[in-house]
Amino acid sequence: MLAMPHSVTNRAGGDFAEPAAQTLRSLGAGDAGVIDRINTLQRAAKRLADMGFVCGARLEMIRPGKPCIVRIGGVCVGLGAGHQAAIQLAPTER
Amino acid sequence: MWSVTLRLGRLSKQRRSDPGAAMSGPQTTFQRAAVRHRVVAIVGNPNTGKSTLFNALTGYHQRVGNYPGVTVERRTGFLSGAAPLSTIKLIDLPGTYSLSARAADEAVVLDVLLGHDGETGEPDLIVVVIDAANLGRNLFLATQVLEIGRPVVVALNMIDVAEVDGLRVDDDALSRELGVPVVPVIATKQSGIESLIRSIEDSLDAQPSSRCASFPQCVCAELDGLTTSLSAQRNGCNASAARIEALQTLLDPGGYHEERLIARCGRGLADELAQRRTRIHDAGESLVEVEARVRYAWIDRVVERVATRVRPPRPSRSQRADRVLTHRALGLAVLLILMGGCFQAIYSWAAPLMDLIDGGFNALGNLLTIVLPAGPLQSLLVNGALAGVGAVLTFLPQILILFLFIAVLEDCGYMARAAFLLDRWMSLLGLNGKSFIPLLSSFACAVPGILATRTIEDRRDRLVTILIAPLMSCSARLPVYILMIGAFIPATPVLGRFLNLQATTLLALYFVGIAVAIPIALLLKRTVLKGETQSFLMELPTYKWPSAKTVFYRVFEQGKEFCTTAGTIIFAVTIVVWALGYYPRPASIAATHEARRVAALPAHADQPAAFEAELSEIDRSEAGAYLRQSVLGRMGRWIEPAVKPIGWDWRIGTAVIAAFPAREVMIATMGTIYNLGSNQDETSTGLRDKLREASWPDGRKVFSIPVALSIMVFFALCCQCGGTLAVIRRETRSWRWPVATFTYMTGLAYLAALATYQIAGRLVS
Repeated sequence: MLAMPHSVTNRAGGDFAEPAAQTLRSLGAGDAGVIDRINTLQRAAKRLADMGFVCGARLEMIRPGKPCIVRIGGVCVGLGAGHQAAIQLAPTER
Repeated sequence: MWSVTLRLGRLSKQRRSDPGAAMSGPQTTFQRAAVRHRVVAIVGNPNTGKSTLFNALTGYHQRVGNYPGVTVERRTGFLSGAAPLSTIKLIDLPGTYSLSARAADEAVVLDVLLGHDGETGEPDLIVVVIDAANLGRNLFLATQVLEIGRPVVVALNMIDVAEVDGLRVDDDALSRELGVPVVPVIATKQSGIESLIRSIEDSLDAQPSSRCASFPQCVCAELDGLTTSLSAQRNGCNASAARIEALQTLLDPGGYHEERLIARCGRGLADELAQRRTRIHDAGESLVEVEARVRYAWIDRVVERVATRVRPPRPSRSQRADRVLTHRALGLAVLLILMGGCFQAIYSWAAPLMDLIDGGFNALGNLLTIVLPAGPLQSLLVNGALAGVGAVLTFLPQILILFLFIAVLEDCGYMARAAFLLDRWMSLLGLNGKSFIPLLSSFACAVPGILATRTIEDRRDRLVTILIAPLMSCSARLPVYILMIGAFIPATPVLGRFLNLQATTLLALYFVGIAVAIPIALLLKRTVLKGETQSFLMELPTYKWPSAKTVFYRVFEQGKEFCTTAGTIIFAVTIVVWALGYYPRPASIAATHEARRVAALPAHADQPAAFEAELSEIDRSEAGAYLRQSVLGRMGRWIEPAVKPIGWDWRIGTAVIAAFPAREVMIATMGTIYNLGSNQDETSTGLRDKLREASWPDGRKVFSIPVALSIMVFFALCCQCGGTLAVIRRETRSWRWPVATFTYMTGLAYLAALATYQIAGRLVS
């Protein structure tokens, strides 16, 4: 079985780390963001992906905290701290 | 495993029949047996009203069963209406966001759709239920289902909700994009059902859609290769079905489909998968993301074309409600008030019902005592069978009321918010917010609470929840609390008129269970069931008015489940306990008491009332003597040295042993032991007085506040429920966990009772 503990993808297709990456945790209430990459274990990544958390998806923070509420694809989803830290956002979007 | 046939609601199938239909009624049964059923599978995301639609289509005539080897329910029914509609079998599949699977329970949907389920076979048509207000995410599953190669009909549900939100979906345009019929429906209002049924009928023999997601070249190549090699291994499988199975296996390393295929096809497949995945990775694609990326790219374009925003989205009522309901402090306050109200309602509403049931059983018991001659049969029926059944049914009102609350809150969408609010605190214990509902249900009865843990996906989290569920003080413990508190705790006011010591003690006992559950959960998560808690991930559906039918149906089903599981175990066990308390019956006791009766006659010759009283006293004394001599009584005396340190005498020990399989038995056994005859309940003043008077051979009183407290604490923490252990065994499919639960709880209960007795003893004196 191929062991791939981390699913790290990037919209640009590259694999290098970006300086000062912004995660979901840094969003305040009402802020929007676009997902850039998701750093997490396979299983969680698949679940997130199925719920719509994919590269390029736009989301809006409704209620920050642990867990937080975001709106993605018209649906409100509660996200725990672990998932929040794993979702990196594109730095320039606001 | 059992299947329950439910016949509820409208039996008038004629309501939906065509005017010209000739067949109806009993003839339909024969017709069903003769023709092969057409099978229609219903899939969709959770919270899309799928079950409401299923209910509307089947008219509530459903069968609930189990898929082999998993805990997911199988729900099937026939289309409501006259033939040929009534030969169409509908199967309601569990809500899912995707066809991928990490555990056997999740794989059920794909299995049934591919025709791997023996009982159903390959479905002739698939209905995908889509929530019009959340088109984007719902279409993910739809695109997967379209690729299976069976005819598909899309039911576009909740168009009223979308309309309110200012969103209009063009079903014709969507139908063109997807290549399959799209029927707008509003399941809750029964609107569009006729069109849906017509569409299903028309599409049964239609051509399947040819729409297919276009994956990047490297993925396609590997996918085609894998499909070919899988088809070779599994003959008779249609090409599209093989392809979707290959897709879910290839892109989900370590997933359930892979595990199963490797088990079936051998290590060769594992190597092939590894090679193909390496090639995909080398080409720069991410296995996990590629499917979602490709599908959502197409979905986003489609949504743009078919959905128009007629009005800018206003914060819906749902969102405005959430501003308070998901607020850290306010939301929690609302939750606590709701819980408080719920418990208050349970105890106040249930009381009259419980009295009614109790009264009924007492009356029946008295009737049997009169009708049947004294002896083993009478005793077995009255003290064994009736007592057992009565014990279970007395708690049914409380349990049903709690289920009602939970069903209403779940149906309206609030439960997800409750899980969200509590997740923060539960994660401190290493648990997920989803554990809240099972633990809440366990306050009524642990049996349905443990069954409710099926919604927790992570195996370790689920086990921890199951293991601490019995610590939540269930309603069966209440009679013991009420008896002891009523007899020994004074009613001194603690908070003026609002709270007295008795109520405080009751509350404290509930908290004892919770307080002990916390370190146990922490310990389990750090040692035996070590592992990271799955981070919270749950959709918060839009609030909606709960549907009376759905709620009623849910409560009915759960009540039935409770009666069957708890009822059969408790009933069987009460019979055994009865036998242990009945035999042996030495003739010497009969002789002694007969002699007393004979002697009493001349003593009270002219006072019939006093004579009757004396006879009753002799009868009770005889019953008590028999109990002392019985197997149960001897067991109680045998363990007396062990329970002395916690303040108990042999009689309490006997009653507690008898209560091990079923707590409810405790009060009745105490009644018998204290020579009162066994139709005692916790409010019997006779029993309370007798307890206050009971003394050791040396004259010391047996019962005191420390003893009462130690008994109650023991009951709070001990696992005295055969039903719970049976359900743990069934849900975890092993004997290890019920044994572990029983052991740790009994040990803890003893130690806690010891500490309580010793400490309280020193404080009081």
